[in-house]
Amino acid sequence: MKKPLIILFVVVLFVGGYVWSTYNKLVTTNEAIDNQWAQVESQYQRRFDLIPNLVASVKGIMAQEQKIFGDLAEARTKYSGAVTVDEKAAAATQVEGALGRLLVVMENYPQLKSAENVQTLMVQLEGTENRIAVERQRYNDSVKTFNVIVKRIPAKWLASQFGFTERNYFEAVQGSETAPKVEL
Amino acid sequence: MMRRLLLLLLPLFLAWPVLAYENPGTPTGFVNDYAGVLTSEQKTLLEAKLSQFEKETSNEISIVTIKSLKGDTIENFAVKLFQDWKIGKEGKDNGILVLIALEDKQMRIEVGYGLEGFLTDAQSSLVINSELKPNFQQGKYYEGFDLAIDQIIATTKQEYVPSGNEKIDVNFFQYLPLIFFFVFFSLGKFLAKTKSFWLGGVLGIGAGALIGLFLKSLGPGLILAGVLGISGLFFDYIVSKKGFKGGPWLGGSGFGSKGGGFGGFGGGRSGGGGASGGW
Repeated sequence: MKKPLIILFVVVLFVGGYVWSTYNKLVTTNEAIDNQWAQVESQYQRRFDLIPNLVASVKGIMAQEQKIFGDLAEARTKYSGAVTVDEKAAAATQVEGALGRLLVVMENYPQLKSAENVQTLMVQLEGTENRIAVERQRYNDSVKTFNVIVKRIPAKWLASQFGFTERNYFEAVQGSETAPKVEL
Repeated sequence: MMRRLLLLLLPLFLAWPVLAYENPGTPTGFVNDYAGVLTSEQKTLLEAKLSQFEKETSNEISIVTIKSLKGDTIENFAVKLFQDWKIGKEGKDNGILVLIALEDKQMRIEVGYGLEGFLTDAQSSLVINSELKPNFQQGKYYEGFDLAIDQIIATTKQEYVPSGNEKIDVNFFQYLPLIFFFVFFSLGKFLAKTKSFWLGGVLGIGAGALIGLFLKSLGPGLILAGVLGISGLFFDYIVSKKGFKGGPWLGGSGFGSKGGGFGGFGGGRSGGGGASGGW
């Protein structure tokens, strides 16, 4: 007798429940990305804290490599001026480039390899780079989780209603795909 | 050393290589010798030392030997294995993984988040270079592991002292499905008996209102009352029409207890801390 009404109730219940849970899932996964980005940033900070020490301990011996130190300093400044995630990612990639060049050139100074403080710094830097790689991979994983929800039907239509759009993966910036060129 | 670091930096410029991590299996203890470099006696000795250490400090150290990385990097393999096995206690993240790949002659000490301050990268590297490397070069795997563990234990001992009144973590939400099923079935039986199909709705609204009152918020309370009311009505309608089979769901689930021996690692995480090396 009240069948249409009951069917309506059920439909409303299911649709409401779906919207509810999808919205919450979107919020949770979106927050997870931001949280993971904070992890990446704190590792970047760790790297920046190490760089001045490294530079200080090798600068004396590598006196004729001023350009590399200049590049490194410039990239650091750029990073501190960056605001958005994409800008920061780009600046961080530039730091990596400069750091990579420094390490390549350092190979030419055998006396650095025997210096104990340089060795310790190298270990720390190695650990930091590895942490960055790990956290960044997890960042991309969390972006993937979010994007899969946002892009799949029917959540796709819902996500756009709530203003959720696809998030960017962390990728090496254009032009930095090639390994750093060693200038001797 | 610099070459290692360069290798770490380079993949950031190139595309990520396809990494061939493969879970070697479920851990059977603190020592998992997949490469077969330890005798069972040596394994027992190391196991005893590590489980004693775990009892004293709750820190979990795991030794894992694998045959080959199959093209993967030791860093990636270590972090993935750590993630799969969850070495260390949940919330404390106080696990350490000592991983060696026999054919690749690569090793890594991966340190959980919670111990990074106590076993730093520099200290991990020292353990690798002064204990593991020289012994491994002579094929003395047990001696290397034993000395390395001693040193790791010495540096991380201060970290976590058991508080004595370790609280038993009974999580209410863990039992929520059980409670739900019990209520669901009891209610089903009761509502089926009453034959009216509106009582469920009334009960639903009542329950929603109660929860709303409990949460001290009007909005969610009203929504909950509405939703529960509707679902109660629907539920009652169904059971009243069709009857309800099945009794209150009691017992039978049985909570698995960790009886004796190794009960698995505790849920710790790591984030790439530690050091790697070769021999």
